[in-house]
This record gives sequence, structure tokens and C-alpha cells, in this order.
Amino acid sequence: MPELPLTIAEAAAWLRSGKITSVALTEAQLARAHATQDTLAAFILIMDEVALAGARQADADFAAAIDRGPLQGIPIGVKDIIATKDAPTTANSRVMDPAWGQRDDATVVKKLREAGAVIFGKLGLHEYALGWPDPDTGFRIPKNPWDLSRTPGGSSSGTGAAVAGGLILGGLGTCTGGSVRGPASYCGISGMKQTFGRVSKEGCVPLGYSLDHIGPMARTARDCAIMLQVMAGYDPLDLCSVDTPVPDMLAVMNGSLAGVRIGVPRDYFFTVPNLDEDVKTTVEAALDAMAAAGATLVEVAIPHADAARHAQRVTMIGEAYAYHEPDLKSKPELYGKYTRQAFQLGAFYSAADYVNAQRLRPLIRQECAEAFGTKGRGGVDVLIVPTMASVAPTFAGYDPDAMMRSYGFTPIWNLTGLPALSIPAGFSDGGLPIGMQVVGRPFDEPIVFKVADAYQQLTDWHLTIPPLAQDLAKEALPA
Amino acid sequence: MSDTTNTADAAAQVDLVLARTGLPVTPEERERLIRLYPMIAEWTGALRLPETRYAEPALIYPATFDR
Repeated sequence: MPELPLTIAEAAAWLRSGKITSVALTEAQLARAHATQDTLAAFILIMDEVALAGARQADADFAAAIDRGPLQGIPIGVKDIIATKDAPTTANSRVMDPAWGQRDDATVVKKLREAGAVIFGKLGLHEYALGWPDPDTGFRIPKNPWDLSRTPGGSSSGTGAAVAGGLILGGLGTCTGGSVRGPASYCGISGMKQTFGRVSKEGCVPLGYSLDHIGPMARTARDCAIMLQVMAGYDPLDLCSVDTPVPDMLAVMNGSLAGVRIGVPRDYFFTVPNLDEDVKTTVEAALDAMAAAGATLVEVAIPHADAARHAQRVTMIGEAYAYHEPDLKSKPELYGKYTRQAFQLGAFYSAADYVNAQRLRPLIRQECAEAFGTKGRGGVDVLIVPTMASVAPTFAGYDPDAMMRSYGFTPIWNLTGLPALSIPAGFSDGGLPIGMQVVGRPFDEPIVFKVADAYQQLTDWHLTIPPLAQDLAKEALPA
Repeated sequence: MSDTTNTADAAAQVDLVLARTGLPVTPEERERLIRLYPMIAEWTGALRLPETRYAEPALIYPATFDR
């Protein structure tokens, strides 16, 4: 029985060698997606007809020697907070106005289609990309393929579950404080939050205007790079889009860590009280492996990392409250309780609190610049820190207030806008994935991908498949 | 945000904000907000740093007709 490719890069090769067609690949992925809706529940909507039409077009293009690049014929999922012309957008909320989604594709979706990607379905998420799933809203709740009693993370929960579960090869997440990297870490996949402004967020329901990103999620860093190459670029429809050239994301990806300088800000990122020992030792072991492969580790510091967490929260909740205030007043009962309660806190931040958070941003940015130093003069190429402080928690016993109090390692990169990629770094004693972030200088995504890819060539954490996905992989391709 | 941390003052502050904003909350949500109020005050207080006393906020508005 033929198996399916594990990665976008592998699938692209198979499609070009004739080992598989896009229709066969898409049919097999559709079968997996439907078969797991009662368990993984990754999708809000599986778009069978749209996906198959896209796959037929891709195959026709291959037959006509038209090659739009490595995403041609590849099934890609879209978080259901990003507009698609052929399906509604729910934001996983009963509050969402259906009229909002009656529009053309979001810019990123348009770019993916132009590159030949097969738009496959709308992926589950935490309501409006915040909070925690509330079963009373009636939406499916995505589960973690490594342990169905655990969250895949949020808010891009469906994307994390679907990629890790082998239902799609890549998907779009969104990230305001860690919503791409958190699910990537908990699900054992790779997820990129590129530099703020690198990818248009036009066509995405906002959470925090000045923090939101749409990012790629896939099994490998290389696959994320392939996706980002297509997604990136200036878009005048997004006020935050930056008009800067898009580099070749794979240009410096040579599998080598020789000469790479890695900054390690141990204070805060390796010392906060809620950091699991499993996570700490796993990321330290990854750093040791990278040093053994030729990288140089350099101790650096970001003195106000903890304050950055507060500034990100005030910014995110403040901006979200401004967007949601009318609905919070007129139809609060339609929100899931955890989402509503999270947004309510926005009423308690003053305008001065918001401005103070924005005044902190340049300070943190300056501290990051000092941590990176000057390239070629003792500076570092990337920073490496844990992604999450623990492995994926169980749904049972969730305490949103305790979650809010815990220290985090992802929001600071939304606040500063720096590119940050989460990749698998190992597993806990209990067999759950642990991720680490590779953080780069502004608009220097290629070096982030280079370092992450080199680590993934040293290890196979990213290719370790959850048992549930292994069972699915045993199933035959459709005739 | 003041540094008020005792429950009575927290309740008064929460009620003031709810009255001013007109935000509807359930009794359980009001109790939660009262519980969280000292933490919110502490966190927003943490944003008032001597280092940023005269810093410009990271707010940019492009004065152009092009975007």
C-alpha cells in the first residue's frame, strides 16, 4: 500500500515525478480529515468540492508543463478566521456576522491559490483567536493528536491538530501572542510567526491590530519557508504591510550550523517558576546538540522580558476590546464564556495604560537589538528560547485565570515584531512534544529557517508521528 | 489604575468601571473581576517604568493619501 508524503517538499517531488497526483493526494487527505472529525475535530468545514477542483486544476497544469512552484497541488488548510471566497468565515463564534465573510479571498489565500495550492478546508480555532473552547457554543473542539484529552494549543488549534495528525501538509494559523507557535509546540510541528508586516493580514478578523500575524504551520521548517515564500510581500490593503523586498527564504539553508552564533537569554526564559523541568532540559539539550554541530552559544539578556508580557496583554486585550465592545454589550450571551471573560478585562485598561504599553515597545526592541548585537562583530544570528513553559495541558481542570498569570515566552516576539519559529525539540517523559523558538532579527527570516532546518537535519523530532496519525497512514490511498 | 488591593475597594472600582462602560456581566463575572482587579492594577503598574518616562510610544500613522 502506498503511503502519503510527510512533508510539502516531499509531496512536491512526488507530484513532479508522477509518484502521486494532486487528486489522489487530496482524496486521501479528505478521507483522513472526514474520518477524524469525531476525534481530532480539526475542521469547521471540509471543502471537498473546492479542494478536488483545485487538485484537478493542479494536475492539468502539471500535464501542460505549467509549474507554479512547490505549493502546486498541495492541500493547505485555512484557519477559519481568514476569509475565503468559497466558504463562510465563522471565527468559531456565534457572534460573527455572516456578512463579513461574503467577500473575496484574503490576500494570503489569494497568493496561495495563485501558487497552485489546493485550498482544502476551514480549520477550527479558539473563538476570535482568544480564550479557551466553550462546549456550549456548539462548535467542535479540536483535540491534540498526541493525547485526545489534551489541547492542541490555541488559538490555531485546528491547524496544529490537522498538520500533526497528517490531515494536511500545511496550514495557516494566526498569531497575536503565540497562537501559531503554541499549537506548533504542543503538537510537535513547526510554526512560523514572521516579522510583523512581512505578510498581509488583510482579510483576517482582527484580534490585536498591532500584534496580529498570519503565519504558516507545517511539519518542517523547510515547509514553513516554502509557504512563507508565497505568502510574503507588500500589500497596500494592509496598513501594517511593509514595502520591503522578499528574500529567498531557502537561500542560506545549507544544513550546517558551523559558524552560527546563537544567543541564549537564560534569565527569565529559562528561570521562570512555571517552567517545566522537562522543557528546560529538552531545550538545553537541543542547544548542546547545536553547539556540538558547530554553533557558538552566547549568553545574552533581555532585562524587561517580563514587562513585555504585560505590555503585550494590555495591547492585545485593549485593541480587541475596542473591536468587540458593541457585541459585548448587545449580545454577550452569544460569546463562549471564556472568550467573553477574556475580552471583559479590556474595560479595565485605561488609555494611559495602552500608551504606556506602546512606550515599552521601543525599550524592549532596543534590548533585543543589544542582545543580537552587530553581525560579524560579536553579534548573534538568532536567539533560542523555549516556546511554551509546559507540555500541552489537559482540557479537564482548565483554569483561565491561572493560565493568565503564568509566564510566557511567545508574546514578546509579537510585541517586538521579530520573526520567531517554533520547532520540535524533543519529548517529555510522558511522550508529549516540546518546542523551542528560533528568533531572528527583523526581516531576517532566512537565517531563522537555516538554523531550524539544520537542527531538523540533526534530529527527527519533527518526523515523529502521533500514534493516531500512524493508524491513519496505514490506510490505503483511494483507488 | 490605582494600587487599591483590598476587596471592598476592588469591588467599588469594578462597579465604577462597569457603570461607566455599560458592560453587562453576570454576578459570577463581577466576582471574578473583583478577584482579578488587584492583579490588573499590578500589571498595568508594571508598565510605568522610569526608563520609559519620556519615551515616544510605538504609534505610527502614515500621513498619506496612498494607503
